[in-house]
Amino acid sequence: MRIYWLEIKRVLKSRRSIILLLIALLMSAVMAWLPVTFEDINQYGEDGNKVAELNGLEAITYKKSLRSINNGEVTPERLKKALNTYQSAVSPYGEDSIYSGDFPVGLYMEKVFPVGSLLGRLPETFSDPKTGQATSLMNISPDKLDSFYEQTVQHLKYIMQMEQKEHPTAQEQALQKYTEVKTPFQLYAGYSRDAFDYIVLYIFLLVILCTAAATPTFSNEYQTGSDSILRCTKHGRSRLAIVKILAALTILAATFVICISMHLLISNLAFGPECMKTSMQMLFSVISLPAINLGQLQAVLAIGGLISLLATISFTLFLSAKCKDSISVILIAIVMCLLPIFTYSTGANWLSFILPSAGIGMQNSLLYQLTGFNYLHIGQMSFWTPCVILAAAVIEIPVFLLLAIRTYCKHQVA
Amino acid sequence: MELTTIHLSKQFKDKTAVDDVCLNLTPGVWGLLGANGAGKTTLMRMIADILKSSSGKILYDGKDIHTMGEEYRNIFGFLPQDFGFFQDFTVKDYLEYVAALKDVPVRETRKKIDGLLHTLTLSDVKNKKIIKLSGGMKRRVGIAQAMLNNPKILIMDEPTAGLDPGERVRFRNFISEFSHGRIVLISTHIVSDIEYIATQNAIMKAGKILDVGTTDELVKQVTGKVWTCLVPADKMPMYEMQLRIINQRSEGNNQVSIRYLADEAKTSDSVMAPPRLEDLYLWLFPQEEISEEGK
Repeated sequence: MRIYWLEIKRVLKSRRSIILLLIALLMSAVMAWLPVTFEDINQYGEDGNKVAELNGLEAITYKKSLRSINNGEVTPERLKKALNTYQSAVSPYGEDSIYSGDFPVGLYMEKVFPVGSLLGRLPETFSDPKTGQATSLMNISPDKLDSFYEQTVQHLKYIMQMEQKEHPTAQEQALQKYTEVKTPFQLYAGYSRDAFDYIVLYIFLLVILCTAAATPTFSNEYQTGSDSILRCTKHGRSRLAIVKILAALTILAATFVICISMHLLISNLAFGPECMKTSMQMLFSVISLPAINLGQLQAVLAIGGLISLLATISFTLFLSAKCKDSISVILIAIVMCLLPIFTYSTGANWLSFILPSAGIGMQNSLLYQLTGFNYLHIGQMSFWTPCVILAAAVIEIPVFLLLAIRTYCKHQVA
Repeated sequence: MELTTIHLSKQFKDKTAVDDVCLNLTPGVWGLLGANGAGKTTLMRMIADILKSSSGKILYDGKDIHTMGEEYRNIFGFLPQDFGFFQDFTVKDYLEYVAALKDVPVRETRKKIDGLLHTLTLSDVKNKKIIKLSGGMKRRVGIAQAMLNNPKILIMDEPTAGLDPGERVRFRNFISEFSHGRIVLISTHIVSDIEYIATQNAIMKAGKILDVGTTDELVKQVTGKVWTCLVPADKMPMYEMQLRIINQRSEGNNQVSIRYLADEAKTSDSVMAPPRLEDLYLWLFPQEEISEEGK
């Protein structure tokens, strides 16, 4: 324990660590706030004239005040009522007028905007099964909404038949998983998808920063020659390696937890904590497989990010124990962090999802895999990619840590 | 107590750095002499068990040091030739860290550190960051860390490099006192640093141990080969070409006193001089050869 605390103290006294940790903390606030600044809306008076151009928190508050009447359960009845409202308001002018700017602003703010979030998933749900093209809200019969939830299952079937044509096990698994999704969905409008993109982006940057912080753990001592002294001490071999690894993991995991918590706290306070009760299916695809709400999705992303971070750090520590200079370690580690992004660009493949940083990135990220329908296959068996990402990372953590300890103990002073 | 190397060799790709070295180190100060590239550092690293030998083994009281592991490292202290520190640590922080790794009990740590800092005249800088210390001070911090656990075996590779003459004298006295009942092996180019404190010397050349013995025993090899004489200053270039001059001093009146190595007197007025360890070193390692080995 004594060596552990001294190692923690040593790392935290390093100027490089302090700078990286401060950057991580600063970015947590900045990146949580950025999506808030993207929010804007014009406020109109009763005469239809613009009275204010709202941005940021004011825009969020105003939008929520308009849409809050639809908060709660997304029942077929509420959907029908909202669709009727929408269609009766829009039919005299035509749907195109909304986008061309010819639609009366006052009517839009009174009838169309408030039901926007509630009806947002209908075009997808009733999309053309052959082409997958979304259906216009004007072309959906309100009577069909009695079987809205049955239609979502039907839509999932079509999608899985298209996406996983040759893999019936994957189709069955997806349908089975979707049965767990609670209906009716919940909707508490206000949270933006941009905010989720920024969570993903922030996790990616955090992993890069933490990787940079972990690179000198062993290699710096090799490079400066201080390792020659340390490894000649009684506890200078496996115990020192274990302590260094534990200290690095403790500091970086704590940094991640603090920073991501701060990021989510700022984001949720800005958009409103009640939004977290919204079903994931109401913000992302209506046929998203996870049976969770937005708050739980944030937790899954944070925990998944932590697991990916630990796997990436474990790999970096192994590299650090293997290479004799910090520059080589940081270059290889950063390339490894980015590799899943490049390999995923060639399509979903095993390599993209079994690398330590597989859940980190944008399209290959855990969020987009949770909202998608990518499966990997071995023979007749199919594996949903979010499960592959997390399982691979969980396996890699002890493997790379043991390799790091072994490599450090076997290191020879050149 | 003895530390024995048995047919110890280390082969790097195309070079044999240490070649079949058999040494039996007993308590006392051992000087390890050799030119650059002679294999001293490689030998010391193998004794420190941070470099694997290609063949042979090292025994401490009959037990293989590699098998002893922690038990061996617990009685061992090492000062490498080139070493770094954690740059953001103060002297005190660093020594506390190494003391913990050496398993020095917490209660004894502060006393031990203060004692060593006092002995090595580092007390004034104990709260200074190591990066801000002079080269000599850093070297003394290195010496302090090596001694934190009162090692029975202390290996120091060029410990006096960067120390000023006063510090070197203090170091010699300190080591001389410290070495009672311990094995202290010191490699250095500065022969005078070990000449008077080494109980035994080992001379290494091209990876092999050429000879082992006390200073008096070893210098016998050059008895009758060290000469002094006075020569005219204007003829010095000629003498420098012809003789292996190891020292020269201007005596005034256009005369220079020279000390040179030769099998026989090269001038009529040459007087045989009592040999010193440095004479032996220079006899065994002529300057041209030192340069070659260092390459």
